[in-house]
Amino acid sequence: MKYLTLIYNSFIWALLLATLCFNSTWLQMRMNIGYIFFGSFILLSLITSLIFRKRCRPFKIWQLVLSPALAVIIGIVVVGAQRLTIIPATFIREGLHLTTLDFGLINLVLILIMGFGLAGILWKNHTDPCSSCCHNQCAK
Amino acid sequence: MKFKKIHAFIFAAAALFTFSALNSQSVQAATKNSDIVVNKKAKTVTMTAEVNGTYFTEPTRHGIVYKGGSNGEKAILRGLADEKDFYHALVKIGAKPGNNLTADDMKAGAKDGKSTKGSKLDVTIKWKGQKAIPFQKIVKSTKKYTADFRFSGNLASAKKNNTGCTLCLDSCATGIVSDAAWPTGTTQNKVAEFRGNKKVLPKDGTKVKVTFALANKK
Repeated sequence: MKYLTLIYNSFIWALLLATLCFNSTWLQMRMNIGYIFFGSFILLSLITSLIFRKRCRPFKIWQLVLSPALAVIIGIVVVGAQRLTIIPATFIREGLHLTTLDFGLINLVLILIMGFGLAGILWKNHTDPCSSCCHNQCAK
Repeated sequence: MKFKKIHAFIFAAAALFTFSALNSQSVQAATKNSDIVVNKKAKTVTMTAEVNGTYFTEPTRHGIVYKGGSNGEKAILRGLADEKDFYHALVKIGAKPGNNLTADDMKAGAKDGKSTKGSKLDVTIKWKGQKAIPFQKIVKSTKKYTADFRFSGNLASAKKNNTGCTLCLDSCATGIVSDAAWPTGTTQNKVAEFRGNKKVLPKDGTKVKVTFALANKK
C-alpha cells in the first residue's frame, strides 16, 4: 500500500513537472519532454521510497486527497484547462514514441489512473489497520 | 520484500522506457515511394504528412518536419518523407537552393534578421474531402500572416543536424524550405507566433498531401 501511494504521487507530480516544462516553448522545442516525465517519475519513486522506507503510511488522508487536487489546480492555473487536455497526452506519446496514439485515449487512461489510483489508496488506507505495520511510524 | 517489489516495478518502468526509446530507431525507416512524388513535367513535388494536433494550441516555428528527425514531433505536420530525399526531389524539378543563411544568422535579434533566398515555391495542401488550398491557410499567426516560401537548400546543415526540418515558418538555416516573408529571429524573439489553424485543418493524425510547385516555371 505504501509503495502504491508513493508511486501514485510520484506519477502525479512528474506529470505536473513535465507539463510545466512543456509550457516553456524554448524547452519543448529542444527536447523530448516525455523523457523528463518518465525520468522524473522513476527518480521520484526511488527517492520517496528511500525517504519513507521506515513508514508504513507516508501521508495522512487529507494529504492523499490534497496532492492530486493541488497538482491539477496548479496545472489549470499555469497552462489552462484546454491546454491541459493536450500537453500531458503530447509528451506521453512523444516519450513512448507512439505518435499515432489518440489524445482522447491517453487522457482517458490518465483520468482512470488518477481516479482509480486515489480510490484504491484511500480504500486500502481504510481497510488496512496501521497496527499491521512493523515499524509503527505512521502518519496518523 | 515490499522494497524489492517497488524496485521491480521501477525496473519494469525503466525497461519499458528503454524499449520505447529503442523503438524510435525503427521510425527512421527510409521514405516510401508513395510518400514523395516528383512530377518533372508539372514541376511539382508532393509529399505525405500527418496532422499533429499538439500545435493547434502550442506555438511552433515548424510547418513540416520529417517524423524520423529529432524535431519530428515539433511541427504542425509530421512529414512521412525524409527531408534529404525532399531536397533532391526539389532539385529534380529545377528548383535552385538559396543556401544564404548560416547558424549565426539564426541568433538574429527582432530587427536584424535575414531572409532566405532560393526558388519561390507555391505550397498547397489537400486531404480527403478537401480540395487543394494554399498552405498559409492552415497557419494561424499572432500577426497578419503572409507567406513567401523559398527553396532554402541547407542540405549540409540538414545532414549534420538531422532535425528533419522540411518546411520552416520563418527563414531558416536548416530547413529545406522556409519563409522569406519572416526573417530569422521572428519566432526566437516572439515577433510572431505560429500555430496550426484548428478551424481549417482536419483532426490530429489525419493524412494530408502537401504539394510544392515551382512558382517560376520558365
